[in-house]
Amino acid sequence: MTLSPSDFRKYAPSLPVDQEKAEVRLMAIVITGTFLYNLLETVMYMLTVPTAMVHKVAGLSQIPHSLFVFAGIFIGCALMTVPHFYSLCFAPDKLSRRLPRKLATRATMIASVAWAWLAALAMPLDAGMLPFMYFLNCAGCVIVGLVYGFSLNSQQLRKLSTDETTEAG
Amino acid sequence: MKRQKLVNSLLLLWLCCYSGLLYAAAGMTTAQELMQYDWQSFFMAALAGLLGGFLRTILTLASEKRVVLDILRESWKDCLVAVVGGGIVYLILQALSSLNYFVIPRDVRILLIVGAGFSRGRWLGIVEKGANDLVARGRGIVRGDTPPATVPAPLGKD
Repeated sequence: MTLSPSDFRKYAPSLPVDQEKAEVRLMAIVITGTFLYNLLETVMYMLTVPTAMVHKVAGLSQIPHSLFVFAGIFIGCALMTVPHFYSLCFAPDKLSRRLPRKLATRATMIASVAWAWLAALAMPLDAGMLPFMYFLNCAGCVIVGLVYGFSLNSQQLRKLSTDETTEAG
Repeated sequence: MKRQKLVNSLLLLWLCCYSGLLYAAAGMTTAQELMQYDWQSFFMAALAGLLGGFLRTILTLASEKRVVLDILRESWKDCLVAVVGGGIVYLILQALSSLNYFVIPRDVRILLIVGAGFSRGRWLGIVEKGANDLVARGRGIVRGDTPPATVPAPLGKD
């Protein structure tokens, strides 16, 4: 069924509202999902693909069972991101809570340090640009963390400015 | 002998070039010596310091105790401070490992450098102040302000 715009305005019960909010939420879902995918993919390579470079590199550290330490770090980061991802997907009315985003920010910070650590471990392997690729992953984590930090900071700014206006008025 | 001076100076020039050629043939050129330096770990240290600075920016953005009005300015300052701090710690670690007394593992080194970039401790106060001034001046120049006139220091009592 096709309608001309004037007919649509006549017959449609209500125009779609808050479309831009949905768009922003979709972008946020994509960002958070990419971050989660990166973490889980790395964990899968580490634990289940013995020929993968990440598997070798994570085992090079001098701390005992470093492979499982790295896997635990990445799994912990993924678990810390899950509440924010859940509220993005299924509970958008709870997105104004700060704690899930704060947890996700911490997760990005921890993951970026872990990637830098992996890059340092990969350097003596002489495997081409592998350390710098790990640093690219680290940069991706940092960018996601900056996105979350920007969101938290602007929410705080909005809240403070509305408080001031209510006090003045 | 005619043109004694010219012959002598040409002889000196030849000697200089000859000794230089011998030196070059025996050892390495400056470029080769520079290439032998561990540039990869140097760049890695710079990147790790930058990472520490970005982590500090993220933490400042996420904290409730501080509101960041100008995010770009904050991150510029953090990055400058972090690069300087990471460089200082890199030099200290190089010096310590050149003692050949103990071995600092590579991953511990990079974590220390990240921590140095992340820490905005008292030991970097002067650097932070300088970075603040530098960022403010750069932004002023971009905005088109005239740079502040320097006031000459008084030369003692008249």
